[in-house]
Amino acid sequence: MMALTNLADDELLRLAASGNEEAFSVLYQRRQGAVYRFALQMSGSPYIAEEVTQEIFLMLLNHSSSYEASRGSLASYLYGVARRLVWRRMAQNRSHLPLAVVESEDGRMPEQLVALPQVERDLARDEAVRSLRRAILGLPAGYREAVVLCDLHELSYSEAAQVLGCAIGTVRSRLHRARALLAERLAAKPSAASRCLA
Amino acid sequence: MNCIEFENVVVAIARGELMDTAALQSGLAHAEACIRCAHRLESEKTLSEVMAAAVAEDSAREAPPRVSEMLMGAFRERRIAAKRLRRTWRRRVLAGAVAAMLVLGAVVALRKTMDTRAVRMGAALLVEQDDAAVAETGDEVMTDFIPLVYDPAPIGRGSLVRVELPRAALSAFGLPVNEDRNEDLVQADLLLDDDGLMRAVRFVE
Repeated sequence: MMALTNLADDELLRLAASGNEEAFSVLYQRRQGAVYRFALQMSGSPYIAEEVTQEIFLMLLNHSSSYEASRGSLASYLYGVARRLVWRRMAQNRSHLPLAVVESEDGRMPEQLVALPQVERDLARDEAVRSLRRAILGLPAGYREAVVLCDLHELSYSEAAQVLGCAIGTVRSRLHRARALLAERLAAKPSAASRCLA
Repeated sequence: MNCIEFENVVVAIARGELMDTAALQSGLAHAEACIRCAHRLESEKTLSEVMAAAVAEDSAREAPPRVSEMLMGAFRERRIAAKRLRRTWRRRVLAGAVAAMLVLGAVVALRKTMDTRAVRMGAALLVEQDDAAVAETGDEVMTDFIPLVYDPAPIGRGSLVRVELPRAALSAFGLPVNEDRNEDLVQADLLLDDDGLMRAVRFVE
């Protein structure tokens, strides 16, 4: 197992395809988190995230040859497949479509607080993160993908471009616009966002 | 740097990815001088901070253990199915090989039987023809059939044709010839197969 953890994704996939269960397990443990998080951040639905993760690794299990190492990294390939599956799932199940950005009842912070103790700062940060998540889910699809890949998954512009199948300049421009929209929406509710930095 | 140029670099500044020191200094200087751009930079920095908090919060998120259990179950089932498939194929190949050997054996046996029959038929034909020839002439003396082609397969059906050849032809088959009578003709029976090909010859006296 120790030796397997040192292997590259391609090698693990090759071993898994030839029936090595440990190799498949290592590959799954290495990549499932990113796939699950991506699907969750894109859809806002743990149900869809779980389904997509399961489907992707089943596909990898049964059709490992569909991945070609010469065309990019396995991580990029998985993001690309996850992206398609998330959109498909969301189209199939409209009930999982993200809601428009709405303010939650428990998100209201007392405006009179000036010096915030740690607990309240944590609450403010949590609320800011929640607001951000809602705002991301309310973004147009292309902008959402750019933010999730570049900011939440910290992919480079070129990696994101490979996943999205578009030019680097397009990713950069989408990210720029998406961030402007997010900043605007977070600024519309400044209490939580600004206090989380206090 | 003006506000439009600042807008082009504000995201890079907030994300900490602007490597051009001069552009960075210029952008920061502009933000200090322009209240609108200062707010813009502040909101981008706030966004980056909240993003970082979201990334930290999400870093522990994983697919539930049931997904892993389901996938590992599927992996094992697939492996068992593959083994079963291999075993089934091995059995099929073995059965096919046995069947092929049986068919081959049957073909060989059948061919041997047919060859034996053909030999018998060929011999019978020759005997019948010999008998007929003898019956017709009564006092003819004949050599044995001398094969003209190399063909181990005996002829099953054919025809016998009586011809006259110069006596000198006898010498071509190693038969003694009186040189004084080279010009004379000698009778011969040609054994032809169905294609009209000469298979053998015998000389008649």
